[in-house]
Amino acid sequence: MDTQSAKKTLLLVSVGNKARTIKSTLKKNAANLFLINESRSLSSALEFLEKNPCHIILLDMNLKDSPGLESLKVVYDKYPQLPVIVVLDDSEQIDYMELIVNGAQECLPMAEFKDENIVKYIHSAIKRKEMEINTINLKDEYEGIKVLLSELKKRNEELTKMDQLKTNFISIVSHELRTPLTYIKEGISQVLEGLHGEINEDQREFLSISLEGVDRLKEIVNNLLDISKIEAGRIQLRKSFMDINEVVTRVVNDFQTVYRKKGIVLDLDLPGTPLNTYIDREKIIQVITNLLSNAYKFTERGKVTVKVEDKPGYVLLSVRDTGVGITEENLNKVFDKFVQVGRTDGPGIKGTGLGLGIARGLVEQHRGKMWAESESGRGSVFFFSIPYLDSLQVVQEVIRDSIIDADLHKSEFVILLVKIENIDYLEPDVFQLGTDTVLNSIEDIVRNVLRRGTDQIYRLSRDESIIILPDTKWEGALSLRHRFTEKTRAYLGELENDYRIKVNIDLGMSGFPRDSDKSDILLEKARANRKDLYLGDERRHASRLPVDMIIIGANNDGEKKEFKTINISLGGVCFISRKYISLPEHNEIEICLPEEYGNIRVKTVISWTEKLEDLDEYQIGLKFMDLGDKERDKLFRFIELSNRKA
Amino acid sequence: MNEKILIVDDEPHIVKMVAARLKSLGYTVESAFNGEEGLEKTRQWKPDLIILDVMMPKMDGPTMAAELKEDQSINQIPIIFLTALIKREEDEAQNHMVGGNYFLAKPFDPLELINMVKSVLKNN
Repeated sequence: MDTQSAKKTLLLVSVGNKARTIKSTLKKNAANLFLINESRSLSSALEFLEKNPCHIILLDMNLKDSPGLESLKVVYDKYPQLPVIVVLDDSEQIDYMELIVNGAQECLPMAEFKDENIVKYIHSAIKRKEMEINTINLKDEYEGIKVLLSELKKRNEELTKMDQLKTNFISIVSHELRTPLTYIKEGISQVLEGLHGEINEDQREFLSISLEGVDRLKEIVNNLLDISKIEAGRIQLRKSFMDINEVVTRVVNDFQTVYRKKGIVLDLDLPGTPLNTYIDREKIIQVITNLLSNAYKFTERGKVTVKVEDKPGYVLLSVRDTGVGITEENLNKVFDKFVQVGRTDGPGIKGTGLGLGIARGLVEQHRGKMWAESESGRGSVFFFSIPYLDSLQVVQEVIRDSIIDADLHKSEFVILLVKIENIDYLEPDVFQLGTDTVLNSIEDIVRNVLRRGTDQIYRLSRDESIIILPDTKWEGALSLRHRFTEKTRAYLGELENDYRIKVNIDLGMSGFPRDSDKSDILLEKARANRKDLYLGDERRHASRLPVDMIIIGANNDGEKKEFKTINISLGGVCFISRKYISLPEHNEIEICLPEEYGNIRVKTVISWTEKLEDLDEYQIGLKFMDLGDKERDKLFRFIELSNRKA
Repeated sequence: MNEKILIVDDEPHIVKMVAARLKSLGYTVESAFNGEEGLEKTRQWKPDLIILDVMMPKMDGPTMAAELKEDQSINQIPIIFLTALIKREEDEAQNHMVGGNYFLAKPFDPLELINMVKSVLKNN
C-alpha cells in the first residue's frame, strides 16, 4: 500500500503500436514510480480525469475523436495544473512553440519513448509544471499585494480626510459653542448685577447656580479643545528660554488664597539658582494649575508641597499632597480621558476628568514625562520632568513647528543660515572683538533687514546662526538675502578697516516645501548649500583648512623663493579653492589678495605627491603663471607680510 | 464720559448684551451686523471705539479693519476684536492684523470686557 500510494498516477492517451510501445517502456523502467492508466480517446481520457486525480498525462496528437492540437487545448483548458507531454509521430512536423503556448510541458517524438530516458522527461515535466504554478501563485500574490497597497493608500487618504474633518469640526464646534456661551454668561451676569432691575435673593441664588454651570461649560469646552489638539498632535507650543522657578512661583501665588480658605498649607520648595528651560510659559502654567487644582480637590487637610529640583539633564517638578491618595491599580488611569478616580457623589468640586490628561500631554510636548506615586489614604505625588534642550534641539523643534504650521496654512517658509567660516582665526586672542560680537552684529543686521515680528533668529553654535522666515516664498527670501548681503558686506568692510581682519561669512538657504519636509534635512540643506558672501561658489569652505604651509614660489627664470608657514586661510585673505584640493598632483590653486594689493587673483600651478589631507605640514611648490613682475613682487611682499604677522 | 462705541457682530444676542452692558456704564452705543454696515456706520458716526467680531458673513472683521486703515479720517479709531477662535488661530489672526488692535476671546467675562474698553479708551 505504501509503495502504491507513493506512486504517481500517469494517464497515457494513445492507441495502437504507439500506446503499446510507451506502455512497455514505462513498465520496464518505471513500474514502481507510476500507476499507469490508459485511455484510447480524448473523451475517455476526460472521463478518467474527472474521476481520478492525475499527476501527468501523455497525450497523443493523433487521436481519432480529436486530431491535432485541439485535444491539448481541451485538456489544458479543463486542467491547467496538469503537466502534459505531447506524443508525436517520428516524422510529424509540428510547431513546437505553439504546443508549449497551449500548455504542453514537453513534446517528444516516438523515438524518445523507447528507452529509460522517458522517465527523466516525465519527472522534469512534472517539476516544470510545479514551478509554473508557483510562479503563477507568486504573481497572484503580487497582484494581491498591489491591491492591498492601493487599498491602504485609499484608506490613508480617507483617514487624512477624516482627520481634517475632525479638525474642522473642532473649530466649528468651538465657535458655535462659544458664541451662545458668551451671551448666556453675559445675560445672566447682567441680571445678577441688577443691570435690568432689582432681583430678590431667590432669583440671585438660582442665577448664581446657572452662572457656575456656564463657567463649567466654558472650562469643558476649553479642555475638550485642548485634549483633541494634543491627541491630533497639533498643539503648537510657543517656547522660549526662561527660568521655570519664576513660572512655578507665579502659579503657586495665584493658588495661595483659595488654599488658605480651605485650610490647606501650600508650600513652595525652590532650588537657589535660576533654571533656564526652553518652555511654553502658558502651557507650563496650565500644567501646574491642573496639578494644583487636582491636589486641592482631593486634599481635605494637611499640606500640598510644590518642589522644583535641578537634575542632570532635566528639571524635576513635583506636587505632593496629603489627600486621599490613589490605589495602585488606579495610578495610571488617572491620566486617561474622562476618568476621575476617587470622585465622590453629591456636591463638591467637579472636574471634567481631562485635566491630568491634558497636563501629561503638554509635558510630553516638552519632551518630558509625567507620572504619579501614591499611598492610598496618605496622599499622592505627581511628578513631571522638563528636559534641558541644547541649541540644536531647540532649532530642530522650531523648524518642526514651522513645518506643521506651514503645512496647515499651505504656506512656505525659508531657513537662512549664517556661518562665520574662519572662526578659528577670529577667536578672541586673535581677534580682539570676539566672534560673539561679530555674530551679534550680523544678527542685528538680519533684524534690521527683516523688520518682521514673526521672523526668528537662533544661535546654533559659536559660529552659526539660523534665521527662520515663516510665510516666505523662495523668491522673497532671495531678495531678502540680497539686501542682507549688501549690508553685511558693508559691516565686514568696516571690520576690515578697523581691525585689519577679514571675516568670512557663509550664507545658506533652504526652503519648505521646496527642499524637504523634514526638519533635519532642511537644516542640512541650508548648511550644504551655503556660499561665501563675497565669492559665492568659488571659495566654498576653503578656509576650513587650518593649514600652515611652506610656499615655494618660483618665478619664470626658475629663481625660487621660500615662504615659511604662511597660513593660507589667514582671515580668508588667501585661500585654496576646494574644488582643486582632492586632486593628488599638479593642480591649480588660486590665491586672492585683498584690494590694497591690487586685488590680484593669481592662478598658479602646484604639484604635490600626496593628498593635502594626509599631510601634517604642506609643502607646495607654486609656479606663478601669467604673472607680470609687478604683480609677482606685490604677491611676494604680501606673503612676506602675512608671514610676519602670523 | 459719553464716549461713542460701535459694536459690529453678526450675532444679535451678543450685540444686545454688550450694548446693554456698555450703556449701563454710560457709553453711547450703536450697532451693526456685518462689516459693510460697520464700515458705513463708522464713516457716518465716527465712534471712539469699535468692538468688532472676527468671523462675520459679507465682510469679516479683519477685512473691515483693513478698509478702515485705508481711510485717513477714521484710521485712528481703536478696535477690540471679539473672537471665538481657538488660541492658535487667534495668534495667527493677530499676526496678520497690523498695529494697535486688541483681542477678547469669547466667552469673555463681563469684567474683562469692561476693563479692556476702559483701558483702550484711556490709552487713545
